Amino acid sequence: METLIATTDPAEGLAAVVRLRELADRLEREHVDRAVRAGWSLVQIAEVLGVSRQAVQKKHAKRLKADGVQLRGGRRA
Amino acid sequence: MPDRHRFTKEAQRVVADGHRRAQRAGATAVEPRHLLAAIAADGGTAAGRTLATAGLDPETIDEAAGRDDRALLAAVGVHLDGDIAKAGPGASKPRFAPATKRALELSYKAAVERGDKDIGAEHVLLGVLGLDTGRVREILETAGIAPDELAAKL
Repeated sequence: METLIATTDPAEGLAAVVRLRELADRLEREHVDRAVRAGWSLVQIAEVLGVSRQAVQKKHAKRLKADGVQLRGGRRA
Repeated sequence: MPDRHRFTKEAQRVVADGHRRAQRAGATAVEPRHLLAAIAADGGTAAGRTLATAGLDPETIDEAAGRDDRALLAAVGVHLDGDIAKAGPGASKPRFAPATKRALELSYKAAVERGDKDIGAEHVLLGVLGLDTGRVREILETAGIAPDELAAKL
């Protein structure tokens, strides 16, 4: 990659940011799901994401529950 | 008492279909392109027929939108192997993007300007075509259509 910033047009750059946020959100769901299925606790996931356990719970618990995945809250493995 | 400009059943169906399309795609928000695809899907409306005549069916719009997505990412140096949707699960409850809400405001203005009683699918399409945000221009240009020429047909 020669240059990271190819466009200097803010309309285009900001629209790209919106797309990147969608990409990041999808990646987050995908890998939170994988982590939970691999037995990670919410605390472990939160630590890697750099957010609080409550933040992970708020964002993902409902979806995981709907998918029938068992969640572990604490730190103990 | 002056008549209130209401959305016709046609227009309501288009908005509902746009919302469903965004939801099915797992999109974070209902965007103008989802409204455009919904209008294109309804061959029973004059607006839908105008899009069909221009070669814009829902699949063509979705495909052009996908190409625009990749072009946007490439513009900031990000090259994906596939679609953004392949990265993982999408959102379950898309909200309405500000540009989409603006398109609906513009559709009301279009009905008023034309002296039409209610806001129909045609006005919603005019609203969408009147946007300068929401990637509508870029998606249409990717599909080989000039937005202003399309608006002139309505």
